[in-house]
Amino acid sequence: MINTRQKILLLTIAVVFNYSPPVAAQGGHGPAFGLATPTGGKGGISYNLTFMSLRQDEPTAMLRHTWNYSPAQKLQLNFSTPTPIQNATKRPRTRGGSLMPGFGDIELSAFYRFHQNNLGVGNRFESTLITGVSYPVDEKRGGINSGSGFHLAAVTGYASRSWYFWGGGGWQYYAEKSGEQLGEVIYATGVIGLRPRYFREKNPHHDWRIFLESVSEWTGNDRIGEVDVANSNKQKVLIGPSLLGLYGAWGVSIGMLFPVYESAGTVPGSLISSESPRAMINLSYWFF
Amino acid sequence: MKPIKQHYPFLLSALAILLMLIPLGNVKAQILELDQKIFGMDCAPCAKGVEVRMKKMDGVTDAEIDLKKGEARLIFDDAHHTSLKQIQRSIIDGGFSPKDAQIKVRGMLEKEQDDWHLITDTDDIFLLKEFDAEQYEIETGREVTIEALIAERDNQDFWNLTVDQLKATEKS
Repeated sequence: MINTRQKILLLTIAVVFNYSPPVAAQGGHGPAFGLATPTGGKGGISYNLTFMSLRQDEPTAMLRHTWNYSPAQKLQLNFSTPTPIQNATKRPRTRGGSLMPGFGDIELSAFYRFHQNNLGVGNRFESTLITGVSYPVDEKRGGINSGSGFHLAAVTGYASRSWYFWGGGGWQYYAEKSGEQLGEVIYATGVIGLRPRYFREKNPHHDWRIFLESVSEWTGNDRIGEVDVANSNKQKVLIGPSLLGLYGAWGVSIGMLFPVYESAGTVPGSLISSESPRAMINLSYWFF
Repeated sequence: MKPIKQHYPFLLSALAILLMLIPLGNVKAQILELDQKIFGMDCAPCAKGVEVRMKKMDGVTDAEIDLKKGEARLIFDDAHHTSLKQIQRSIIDGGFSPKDAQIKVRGMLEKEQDDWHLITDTDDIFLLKEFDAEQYEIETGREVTIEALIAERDNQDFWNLTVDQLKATEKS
């Protein structure tokens, strides 16, 4: 549980972000689930409201608020808080969206664009390092104590007026808590995007693009008292489409991921059931 | 009351300062129009962000982004102090790369050794490349309006201008 001091700290951060003066910013949000390179301009502030649904035996739904601020052109800071809507004891061990933390985590993260090459009109090739620390709002996940987390990822990609490509990977680590430890999550993502010709005009009012996304996850065994919990690990591959629409300062993204491969769930003795498709709806607002 | 004669030195000094300031007030040496090429800008919010940044700059009366061409078109009033450095800095801060530009700028022509410069009210120094003053029958010290192509900046202290058109301001 969060104590009073932590609540005050979180409230202070939320107020600071809320009352920062609206300054020029620009975004370029991409896929719903896969890693992508953010494009916040210096001084830019944006807000994302995300709904995500997961299902493994029981349905799980979450609403997430994420504030983004870019103190420098190459740096973006993010603060994300979850609001569980429908909670389940056994839910998939995942970061949810790759640019989001796990289901029950408050996360403070930083994106550092360490490489950028603006190749031409509307084209750029860039790479971003992502790191973050998280604090759980729930006591247990799948019967294991939830510990604080650390996330490290990297992504590289190409953006243009017509095509988008991103590839990346990351590692989510959970610290031990009272002798129990959640299994780590190692993942890789790939994204292909296309902006239809109609939306490549001079100054379009609407800007829509479609993506095909893939997420591969390797979840490690949970541990109790230095001993691995047998059959609590899993590997899976999910693929699905997403759609991003931008209008003025608003953006909406809708996506689904379908499991196409799962190493456990159908295996006798596995503690993890098969996963149902994941769904996500994200609403973005840029403070211009 | 002191006789007014005792105030003459102060009044004369104030008048002299005022007279010196009048010509400076009449100098209108700044960017009038700019078509700036931008690399890396791919989406509508990117363009909107750059446009909003530019509209907040001193003297900008209109700013429009063409995503297809990757260009920002800026129109200025004739009494501002926004430099080309500041404009390009705002594009870089937005995450994109300013490239060459077409500019209409007013300033004072100056000749230093064999080089011709255009001096404005900002810290921009414009170097006129391969400029033939005789072609325009112009002399140093004249106020002119120039339409020119600016090459991409390459870490030098001045901007290279290839002059398309030059018009001298009528002497008053």
